[in-house]
Amino acid sequence: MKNVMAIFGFIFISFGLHGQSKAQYQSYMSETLALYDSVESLKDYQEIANRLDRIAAAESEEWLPPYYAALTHIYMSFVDGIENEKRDDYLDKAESYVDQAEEIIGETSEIVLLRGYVFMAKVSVNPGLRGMTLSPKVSGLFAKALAMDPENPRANLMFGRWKYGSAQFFGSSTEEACSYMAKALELYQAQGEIKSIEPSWGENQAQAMTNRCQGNK
Amino acid sequence: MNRYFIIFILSLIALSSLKAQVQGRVIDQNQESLVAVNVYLKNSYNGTSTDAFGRFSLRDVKLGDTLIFSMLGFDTQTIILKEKDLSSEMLILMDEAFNKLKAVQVSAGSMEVSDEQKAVVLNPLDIVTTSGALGDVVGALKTLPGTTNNANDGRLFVRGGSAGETAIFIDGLRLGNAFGTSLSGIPTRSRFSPQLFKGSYFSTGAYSAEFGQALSSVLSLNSVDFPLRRQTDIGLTSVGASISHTEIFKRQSITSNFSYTNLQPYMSFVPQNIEFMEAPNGLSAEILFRQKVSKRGLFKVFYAYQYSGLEVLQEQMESEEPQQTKLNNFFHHLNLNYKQDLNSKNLIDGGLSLSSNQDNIKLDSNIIGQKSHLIHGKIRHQYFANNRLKFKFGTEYFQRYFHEAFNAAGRTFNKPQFAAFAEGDYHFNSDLVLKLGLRQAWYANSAYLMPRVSMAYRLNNASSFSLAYGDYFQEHSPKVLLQAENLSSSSARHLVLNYQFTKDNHSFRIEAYNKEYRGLLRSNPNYNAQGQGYARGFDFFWRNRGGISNLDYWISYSFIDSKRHWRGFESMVQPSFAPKHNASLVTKYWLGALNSQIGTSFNINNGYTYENPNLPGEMESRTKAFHSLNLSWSYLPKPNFIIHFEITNVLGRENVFGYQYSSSPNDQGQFQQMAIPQSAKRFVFLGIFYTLSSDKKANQLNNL
Repeated sequence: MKNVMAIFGFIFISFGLHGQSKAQYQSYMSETLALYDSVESLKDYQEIANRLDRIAAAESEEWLPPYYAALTHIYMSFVDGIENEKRDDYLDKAESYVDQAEEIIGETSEIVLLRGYVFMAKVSVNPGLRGMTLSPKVSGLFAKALAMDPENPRANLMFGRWKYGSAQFFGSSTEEACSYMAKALELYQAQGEIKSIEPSWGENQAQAMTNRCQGNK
Repeated sequence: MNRYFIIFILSLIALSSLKAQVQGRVIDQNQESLVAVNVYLKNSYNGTSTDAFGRFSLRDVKLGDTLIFSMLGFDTQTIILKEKDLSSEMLILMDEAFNKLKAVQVSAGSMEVSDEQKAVVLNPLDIVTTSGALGDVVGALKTLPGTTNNANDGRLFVRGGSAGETAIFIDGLRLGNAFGTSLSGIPTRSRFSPQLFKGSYFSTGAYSAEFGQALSSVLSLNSVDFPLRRQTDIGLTSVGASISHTEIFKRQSITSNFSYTNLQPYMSFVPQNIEFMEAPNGLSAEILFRQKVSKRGLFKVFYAYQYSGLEVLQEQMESEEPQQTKLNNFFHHLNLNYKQDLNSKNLIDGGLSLSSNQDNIKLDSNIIGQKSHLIHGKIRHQYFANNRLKFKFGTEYFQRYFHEAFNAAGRTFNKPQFAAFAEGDYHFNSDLVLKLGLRQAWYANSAYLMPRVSMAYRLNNASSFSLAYGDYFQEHSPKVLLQAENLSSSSARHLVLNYQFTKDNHSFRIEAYNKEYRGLLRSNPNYNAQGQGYARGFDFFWRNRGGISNLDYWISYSFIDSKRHWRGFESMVQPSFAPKHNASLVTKYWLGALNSQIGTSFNINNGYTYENPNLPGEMESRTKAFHSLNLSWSYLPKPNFIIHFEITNVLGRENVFGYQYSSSPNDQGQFQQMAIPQSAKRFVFLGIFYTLSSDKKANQLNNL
């Protein structure tokens, strides 16, 4: 009987190599996302993006591969020492992945938020030139993401971060901005450690921003 | 059955389909290794990225598999594995992708206002933050090369052309009576607030076949597609008040805008050079409606109503009694526009606009009425054959109606025009583009054929040359055609050579041009179209953003050599609206400590020509130089709250735009003169603007 099981197991593996099962998708995604922890250079990000791109191409019904591919491209645009034109290329690519993810899952809080992040990164490429024209778009998208899901920790974090930046620019109080970041941190802590491949990024940022807020007091 | 045999068979099945390996290297056209190229088996997770030397190896592949090589900025390569690929090193060459957005564009004659990084000239916000522009769309454009500042008129004068030679479009449709009606010596403004538009294209010559009925220049404004959020804007200024609200639904949005202006309180504080019986006052209402249609279609409706009125007493040369003039203007504009992506290769858009303008003028005891309508219908099809080749075709229809009444008598003009255009542009590569266009217009039994050609060549990453040529026709104004029905059209032939350099935050452009006019209106001995003229010269523009911390500035200079044999003149004369030397300097400085933007602009030219009957010759004299220094201060205590202060002609220069002369000489045989001054020495503006939205910190800068 044992042997029969072994044979079935073998058959299962052989077929598994042809069509990707859900379990394999999950494990390959987890494996890919784990690579974020060891990124040291642009090339490492590019390799993650390449893996996500391959998964996205093979799994046209899954929104997470293009979602993370977009996020990776945003991170790539922030790497030091790249020409501005290249940063824009990464962000245009990121935007097209956001579109791709939106085609699959629709306009959810996470998608709107990510789109806001793309535009926020575009502003940071050339704040002097784009700040004034793109800012309303960024704040509009973050506000929308937050309204769609007020309990989304990332929406609280990004909305707070954006407000923090503009409060600093205008020299006004960062109190309101900090309240969003504190709420974000609370939400991150309440949900505990997430083992799935669903979006869970941002806790460290929320922690760092909250620390900075407390330092300001 | 022997179970080992089964295992053996199954293993064979598995092995036969797997287990080969490929390896190789990926390079670009310059034989350089490409790093982190995505190399993978189609529709599978099986893949890898090239290493620092462009090398890759991939296991578990077999004969006939499709291998894909992809990398941002390069054309994706697809390879079906053959015997030799499995047995030897593969060498993959990837070509750099042709990216239309990065390829060279024809910039001769055109200046784009956009928020893209490579926009060399202005971005939409510059329109509202240029000091001296006073929130007028064309205000900021008057600091650009190729334009001349005629501060007592307010309209847009380009490269020796009269104001009537510039056509203004909203979403591709012609706007009739784009400027408010005014009286001689009182400057007018363009009708709409800059916040309605997201970008624009301003051409000072040799523009595309898509545009006609403009001898010198086109300004094409694109209205906002779909607003981002629900918001209310309130503005309170020294000359009036405005309120605007945007409501957003799932697939629709609606923005309404009301404003009221009255200069009465202002004029009681600030002295004017003209005596107003009724200070300029006005009312305007605008509605913008947007409807998303299916997945990629957008329907836009824009309706505007404006009323304005004023009454003045103007001193007359040979009369004790000043002349009393009262003006009431009523204006409607409806603009319907539809845009639809049919598929990735075809885009169709078109629309219909109607402008209606009514002026009621009371001149002493006479009553003059002028009514004009302009209908413009247009349909355009764009076909993207591939990413290097693009075609644009379209047809247009215009109907011009004009009615003029003097006391009880009246006469009417009403005629259609038709036009068709086709244009193709082809990128030979990223550095060379050629554009060929043809426009044909039909009007009153005559046909006019207008070829347009342009090309651009990029020398290196930062600089490019472009050259453009075009023929342009424009009908005479209905007012003239009422008196001389069969006048043939005026024409202009443009040739423009442009060099442009853009690097980081600097941009520089220099342009030389030649414009030949034929068929200009003459009124000597009676109306005919035998006039001619020319305008030639060069202009340059330099802009630097952030080179000096927090400072953004631009400089432009225009040299215009223009003469015309037109109107009643016996000889070639330099028109009064075309000074030879024109320059502007605009600065914007962000003062973080005060949350303020301090702006200045300085305009100067070497004076306007005029004719002094005491001297021999025609248009032989020139006024003293015109100059004006304008200052503005915008204070933003919070992002959604702005206090804006602006003052024009700070130095109080007594500018003169020409002289009026008595019709007969006095006892000493001299004609007496009277200067034509600015309607007021300065204009002072103070406004507060507040935005309410769900996002409490919504930016107010757009309302400056």
